[in-house]
Amino acid sequence: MNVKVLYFAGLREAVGQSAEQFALPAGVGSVGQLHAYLAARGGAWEALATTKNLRIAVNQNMAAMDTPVKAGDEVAFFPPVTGRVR
Amino acid sequence: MARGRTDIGAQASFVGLVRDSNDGAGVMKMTLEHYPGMTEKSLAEIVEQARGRWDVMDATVIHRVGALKPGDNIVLVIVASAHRGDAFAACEFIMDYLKTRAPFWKKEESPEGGRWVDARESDDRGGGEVEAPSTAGHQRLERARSCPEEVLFLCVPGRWAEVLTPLLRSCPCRPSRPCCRRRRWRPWRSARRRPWRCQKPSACWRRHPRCCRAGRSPTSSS
Repeated sequence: MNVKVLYFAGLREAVGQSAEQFALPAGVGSVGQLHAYLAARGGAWEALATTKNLRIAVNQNMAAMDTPVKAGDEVAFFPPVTGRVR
Repeated sequence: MARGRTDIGAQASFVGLVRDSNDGAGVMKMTLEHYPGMTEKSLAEIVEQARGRWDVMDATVIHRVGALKPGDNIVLVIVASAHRGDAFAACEFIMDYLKTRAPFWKKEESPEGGRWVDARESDDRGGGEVEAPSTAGHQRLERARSCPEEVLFLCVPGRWAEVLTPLLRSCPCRPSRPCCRRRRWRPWRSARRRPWRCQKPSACWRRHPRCCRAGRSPTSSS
């Protein structure tokens, strides 16, 4: 089973793709570990490390860095949603 | 919405449109991106929360995505209730919550090029559970701006206090009196049902009748 990773908005443009699927690497069991794994690819994926207030959702629920990730999950990375309250 | 029903006494609606300028830059086009699946889920959750807080008999939210131009409608919120107070409040709550919690991202095309609209720091704190924006807070803020006697109503819980307190500080009437520093309000939900009072009246810096003694919340009457 693969893990599906989605990118949205500015992050999608920075990474250059909106989605990818790959087998969950060994030793990756949480959102934080997946984030570190992707950011360690370097190049375009450095945007994951540099995006301020990065938001992460696992299976369409907001998640924290310690949320577990298992094979078959859908993990989305995105910048904070746009919104202004005046 | 009210067809075939006679128990609905109020319908409040809100329509959001694309402005032709933002922060001084002209906007020629806007693209709204969303997270298919999660966006629908969050919209349903937001409506569900509004139902839990107010007497909402029916609610509809329609949000557009994709390419939009100035003047286009972006979002429609309609709330039906028995009384106008609940309808207005729930409509505003849904709109506020939607702007800060539903996964939508705006990209504006201006003559200088495209740019993603950032969330304001104050709009987006933490990814976890966030204190609900109290719509009554907005109304109180407006009142507080025009009437110094109402300044105390500017107390809203959680992150909204952080947002609104600086505004209060800039109030010409009470330039140095932050409102929420030494007092804590009950959570909004219970404040609505119970008398409007401080959690710790003894710590209140000013014995305001609406604050420290039993009284009706301004939002509980419609």
